[in-house]
Amino acid sequence: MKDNNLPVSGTIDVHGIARVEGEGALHVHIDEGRLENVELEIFEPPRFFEAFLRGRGFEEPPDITARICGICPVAYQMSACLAIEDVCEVEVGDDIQALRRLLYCGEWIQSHALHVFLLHAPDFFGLEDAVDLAKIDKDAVNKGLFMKKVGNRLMEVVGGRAVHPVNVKIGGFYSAPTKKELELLLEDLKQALDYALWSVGWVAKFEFPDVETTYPLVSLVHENLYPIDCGTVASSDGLNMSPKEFLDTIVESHVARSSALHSKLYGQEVYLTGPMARFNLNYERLTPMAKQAAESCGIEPNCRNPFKTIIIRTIELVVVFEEAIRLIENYIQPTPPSIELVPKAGMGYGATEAPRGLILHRYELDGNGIIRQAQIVPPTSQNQAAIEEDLKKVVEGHIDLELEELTRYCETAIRNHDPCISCSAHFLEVDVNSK
Amino acid sequence: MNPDMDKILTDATDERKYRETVIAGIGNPYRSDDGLGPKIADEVAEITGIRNIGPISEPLDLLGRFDNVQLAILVDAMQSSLSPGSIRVFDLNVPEAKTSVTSTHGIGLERTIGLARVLERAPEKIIVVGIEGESFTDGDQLSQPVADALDDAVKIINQIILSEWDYCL
Repeated sequence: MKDNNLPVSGTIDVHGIARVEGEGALHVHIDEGRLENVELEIFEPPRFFEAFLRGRGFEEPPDITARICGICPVAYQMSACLAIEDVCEVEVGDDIQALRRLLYCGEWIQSHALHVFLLHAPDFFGLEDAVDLAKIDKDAVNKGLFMKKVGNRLMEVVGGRAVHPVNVKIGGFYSAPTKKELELLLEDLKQALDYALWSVGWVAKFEFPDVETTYPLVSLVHENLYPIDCGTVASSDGLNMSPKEFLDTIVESHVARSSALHSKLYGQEVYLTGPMARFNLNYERLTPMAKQAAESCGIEPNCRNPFKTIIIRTIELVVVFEEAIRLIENYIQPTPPSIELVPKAGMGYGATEAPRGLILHRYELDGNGIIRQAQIVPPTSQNQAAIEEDLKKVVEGHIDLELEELTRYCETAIRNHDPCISCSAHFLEVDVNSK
Repeated sequence: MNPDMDKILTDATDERKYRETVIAGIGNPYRSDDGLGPKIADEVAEITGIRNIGPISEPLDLLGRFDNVQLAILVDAMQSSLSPGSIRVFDLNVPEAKTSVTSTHGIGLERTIGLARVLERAPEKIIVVGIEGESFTDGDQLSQPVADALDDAVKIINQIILSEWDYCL
């Protein structure tokens, strides 16, 4: 804190944001103690995946879109499968759906364990990274690495490999693991569940800046389950709609500083997806131990402080470990491991919850099963505007801090949302006018 | 199998005489020369019988695979100003390697090794063998200069293993 209260003037320029996926930068302009402007710049080149998909066969999106991200390939695969199956008017059976949810648990474990312990927790100790964190708390880092390893193993057994799984296809899986193969994971999953429960208490003791957000929260909701692999789209403002209706509700627009599109509700309203949205909208559907952990750590069921998202991620780790154990214990090997699909002409929609938020896919097929149009709306492009809102609040609420300290808060505020910039840079529309 | 290697392996059957050596190729086999690491590691493991802990696409995955071994040999493609196919051997015998913090979600190789050391899970010795790549485009074929360098890289690594085992024995 500064010795005097003189307003500061200056610019925070973080030219390469560390510990996030992809290439982005942050610019904050302060003039005479007043916040002038905040810009989250995304200069990750556009990826053109939606264009690659046009003209490809209806079976290809799970493998093509998985390549968008090495952290959340399953999210792309699952939303793609749901969307294509929606066009073809089929639904997989409960056994296949359960195996999909189990695979998705593996991805959440990998992603959340990596983010909490290696990327985000160092911020709360004022440390540069996980190596420095390991110097002061070896046990915590080892527990995080163990959880991540269990997630990797689950992905290997169900998905065929830990990164970019190869076992997912439209209609199900190429092959389904046996119950015995899955049961071999149980001992480690139970140990990891203990570590996850411990981690809720560990992060809940961190010191959190006092920031409250007001933008609407958007996530999937489901009648019985914590939303991972299925559900309808709901908001804290009372919306509850199908993925199709939601895609009609948001407007994606290009802003000059970003190669990712910004999404807004009705073209105007900033909103947030991700752990805080899921937790607030699905508190009653937390798994039993996760609910108990949430109650005992003191986090509010309507948490609006984005810095506390790290607590929610650990609670979600408990959710996915409990779910993985339940799914394995109740597992019935799907036979055959996939259903047959006959392509139809039409439009289909799929929505699931990536670790960092809602991910929507829309595909238009012709009668031969060729993709005519594809739209992918990943979480980080939906969250960009909300991240900028957070940054404004952080700067305005802490404007009397030294610039170095304020910069640290800003970087942490971005990492609160575990943004995946590589995913967000999904589309850049180019209009060519010729005479 | 090379007769020298056969003798060393025979002599080393008594576990008290040596501790484990492992190898890992780092890289993506579908990005042309980036796949040279896994190719070389496969070949060395085949010849020497040492444990292949790769392929590794995310360096953090080394944790848990190379914990507390005697020697880990990591083979990776390089991009520097050297001519394609050039081979360099780096002994990472530094207490803590530092690298750029402008990283992605993943943790880079140097930070992974730094983390392993702090957690007291690092191999006693880590040697990185880098081969300068020419092409990192899509595809599973190596460029000609890199393909021509493979045999030399395998010989160099086998020599490293032999000298390390001689020392241990």
